[in-house]
Amino acid sequence: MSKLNARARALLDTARHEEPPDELRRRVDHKLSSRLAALGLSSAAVTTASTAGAAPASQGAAAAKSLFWTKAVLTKVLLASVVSVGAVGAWYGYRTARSPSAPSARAIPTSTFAHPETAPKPIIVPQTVPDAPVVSVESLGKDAPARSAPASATELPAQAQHPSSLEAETQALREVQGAMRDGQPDRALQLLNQRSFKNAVLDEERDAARAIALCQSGKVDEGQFAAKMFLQQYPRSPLVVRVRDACNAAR
Amino acid sequence: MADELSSPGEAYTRYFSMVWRNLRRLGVPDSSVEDALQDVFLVVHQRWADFRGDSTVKTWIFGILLRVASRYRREAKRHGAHLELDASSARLEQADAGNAPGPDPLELASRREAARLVNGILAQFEDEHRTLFVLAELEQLSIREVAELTGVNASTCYKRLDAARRQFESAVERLRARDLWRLK
Repeated sequence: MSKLNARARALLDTARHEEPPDELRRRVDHKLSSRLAALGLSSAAVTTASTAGAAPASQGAAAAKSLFWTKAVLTKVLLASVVSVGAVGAWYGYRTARSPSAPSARAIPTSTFAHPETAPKPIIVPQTVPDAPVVSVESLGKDAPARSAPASATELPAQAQHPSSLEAETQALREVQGAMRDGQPDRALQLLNQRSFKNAVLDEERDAARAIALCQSGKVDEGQFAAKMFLQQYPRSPLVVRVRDACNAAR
Repeated sequence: MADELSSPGEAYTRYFSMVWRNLRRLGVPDSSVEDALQDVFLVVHQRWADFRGDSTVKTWIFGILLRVASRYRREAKRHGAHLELDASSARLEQADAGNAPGPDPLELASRREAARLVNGILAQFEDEHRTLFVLAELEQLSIREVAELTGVNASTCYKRLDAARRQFESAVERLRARDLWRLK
């Protein structure tokens, strides 16, 4: 197999090191923090403008401050999660607990971004959140509006309320997981049929959930078939063991 | 594992630039790159607990990135978007260049221009050739990793990669010829 010629190689080598604009990084930090917090997946420790010019000698203090704020906001975010998105946190906890190899850092959602030691540049929180050293709960209200407090995961409103298709799929999958956790595989199947996964970002999880729900609901033949299809399509999926276990137990 | 990381936050910090570069290379319109970046790392956070270390974190993130990029390309085709640098991202880059401390501005401009040329060439590739070329040539993944990520067998990967390299070289030569003509 022939290699690239020198001219083409030189162009690639120069292009390879392009870096994203800092402004973009700040915007994505902020928006992603809000989306994650709204989903109850993690708190987002984002350093403040006050630490932006901090000298290296003050990094220890900054880290301690960050830890303090992380804890404070974690508490707020957990409360906000309970109020705004119901059983989301429980669902994530359930998933985490079911993964024996998950590192402990994942079990306790802590700092998401900008670890003081590794972050290339401190991130400035926008002016709309004055004096807040982290992405605050207030910002959840802006980025995740119209989420009333449902009594349970299965009562969450349909995906129409969610701005992006990925979030719609996440929401749908969360409802399915909630039904399965509550021992209602038939309800999970019903939700899988009702909800849209048209963009197929989480199709792997959806197919695994379908196979597991079929096997758990006693539809063994259909479940075995769905499990077989899943194993053929995603032989390297981390969900293979769960699908196999669920369907072997149903035999 | 060389790039073992203990949290999705660390993965975000380490691979943000890599994901950004490759979303653009893989044909996600500039106007959608910001959303696609969020989507990639949202999935990284959601699936982190399921990651078992069968591959490197980088390769695993690439798997997610390829799927997200593919979805955004489909949407762009449906809506008739094009792959040119759009006004908003150009403004962003200009604003950033104005206050970026970091490397020499000439060096930055040179990288940016090279990336623009490369992305422009890649935009003319078929999707499968572009993906292989980006993974193997720009990210320098092994053919085994490329085959695993794309689901294409190794010998087909070699053939397609060879074709993509020739296409890339031809495009570079065309650009050079155009420049020489302009400078005459």
